[in-house]
Amino acid sequence: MKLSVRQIVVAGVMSAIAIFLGATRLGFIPFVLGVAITIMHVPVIIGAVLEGPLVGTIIGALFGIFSLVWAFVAPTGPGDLYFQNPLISILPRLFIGLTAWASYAAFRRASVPWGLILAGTMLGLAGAFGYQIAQASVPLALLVGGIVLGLIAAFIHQTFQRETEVLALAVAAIVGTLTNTVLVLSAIGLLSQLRLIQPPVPWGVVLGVGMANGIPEIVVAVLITTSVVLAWKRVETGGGSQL
Amino acid sequence: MPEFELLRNITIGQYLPTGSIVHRLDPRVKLTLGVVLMAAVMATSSLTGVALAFIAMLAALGLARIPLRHALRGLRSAWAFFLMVAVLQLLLFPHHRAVAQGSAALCLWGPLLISTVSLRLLILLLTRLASLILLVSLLTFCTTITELAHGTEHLLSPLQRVGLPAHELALVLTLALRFLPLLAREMERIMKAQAARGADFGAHSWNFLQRTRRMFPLLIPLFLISLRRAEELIEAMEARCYMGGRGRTHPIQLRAQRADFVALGSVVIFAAFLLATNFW
Repeated sequence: MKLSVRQIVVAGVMSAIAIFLGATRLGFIPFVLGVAITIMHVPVIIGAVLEGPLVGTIIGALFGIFSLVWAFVAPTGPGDLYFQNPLISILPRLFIGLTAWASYAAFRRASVPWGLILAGTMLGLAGAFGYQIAQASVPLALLVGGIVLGLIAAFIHQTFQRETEVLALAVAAIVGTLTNTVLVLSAIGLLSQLRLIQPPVPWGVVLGVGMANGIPEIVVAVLITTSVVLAWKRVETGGGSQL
Repeated sequence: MPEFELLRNITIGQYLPTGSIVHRLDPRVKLTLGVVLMAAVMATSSLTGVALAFIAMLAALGLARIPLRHALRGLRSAWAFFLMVAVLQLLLFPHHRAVAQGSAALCLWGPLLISTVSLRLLILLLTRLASLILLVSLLTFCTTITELAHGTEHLLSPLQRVGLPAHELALVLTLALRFLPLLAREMERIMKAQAARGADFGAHSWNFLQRTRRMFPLLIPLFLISLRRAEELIEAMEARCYMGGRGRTHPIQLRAQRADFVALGSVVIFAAFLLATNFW
């Protein structure tokens, strides 16, 4: 494990943004029922996409440590009670960078055969998932299925156009955000089931918060990640910022 | 225009230089003690243990010569949080099961039922919470951020043998903390620039979409400016042939004194005692 100067500096600066967004509360957007959606994991995704999984993990770890400290020093809501446990505030955050980078790399480098295999896998997963949803509600399944099919079609189209950058960034943001939301909430749910945290949260509440927060968080993360990285890469290649 | 003042929001911890014996402890020792005590307090599940921990925290604050009123301010601002925790605990606790298992019901009011077990648990939870808040505040009252970074580096350095880049990790931490005031200043500039163009940050709207849309013209420039600054820093470091890690010496050498060993020993014994109260 060797870190280059570039990796050290980008990790430091992106961690600074994550800490800054938390300290000034700019990273929280108040949402229904006093549950705020968060964008503090976006620096982790951007760092991972720019400099690889190690940098992503470091930023995730610092973000986690500071959210642990804040939960103690400046608690603001009932959620902070759960973030006082390092298994909830630190451990899940270590994986954001890893998954975001892996999905970015997979989609970015997709050659035509690889792209088709990835698209096939996604189609299979979406089919299985859609079937599950369809048993509960057919219109919802049609809606979700339509969105997923559109994404897959866009991916296949882009693979043949050799321009997978935008899609790879969007997928990285989606996967990174999902990693954060799903892992943190399942840690809360799991520790509640094991009676390791008090008061326990029932799975229904966990699922509800996940659904309500997950979707807006994904949308915001995708928008920020793609605009920042695309603008930055154009600056890097000397094409001039498009913002 | 208080909404543009971001600098004062980013104080992580609140160092209070009283020059006490706790302040003069080795940062490595302070960090270790903080982690050991935190783990012990979290793992304590007896009322005696938690009460002892709370008293010990107050004593430590006295030893650090931190004015009690100053230290308790953190707790006072968290009262709403305590209240919410209490309400949640009373709402979500499976009281009926507890009563069925033989705990006495204290209060029965409509669907609301409070049992002795849940009340005991609530007191335990709140005292533990208060002790932990005091512990973390104490650590930030008497350790500067630089000391914390040095301490982390030294504590991680044995792991360098197995390939963990301890020096680099400490540098990441120092950089992140150094960048915080810069980011705050940049953000103030961005906010003022956007406000000059007619952006409205003052009115608190509950419209979720509007609030979110308002974030984009702030966040995207912030990211890009930070990345540009990072690029400048990389260039400056490479121009000076920065080499991290092995063989690098430090301007500040940490040496443990006798007081450090005494503190380490007594706190470890105290933590073991806290854990032992679980089995009484």
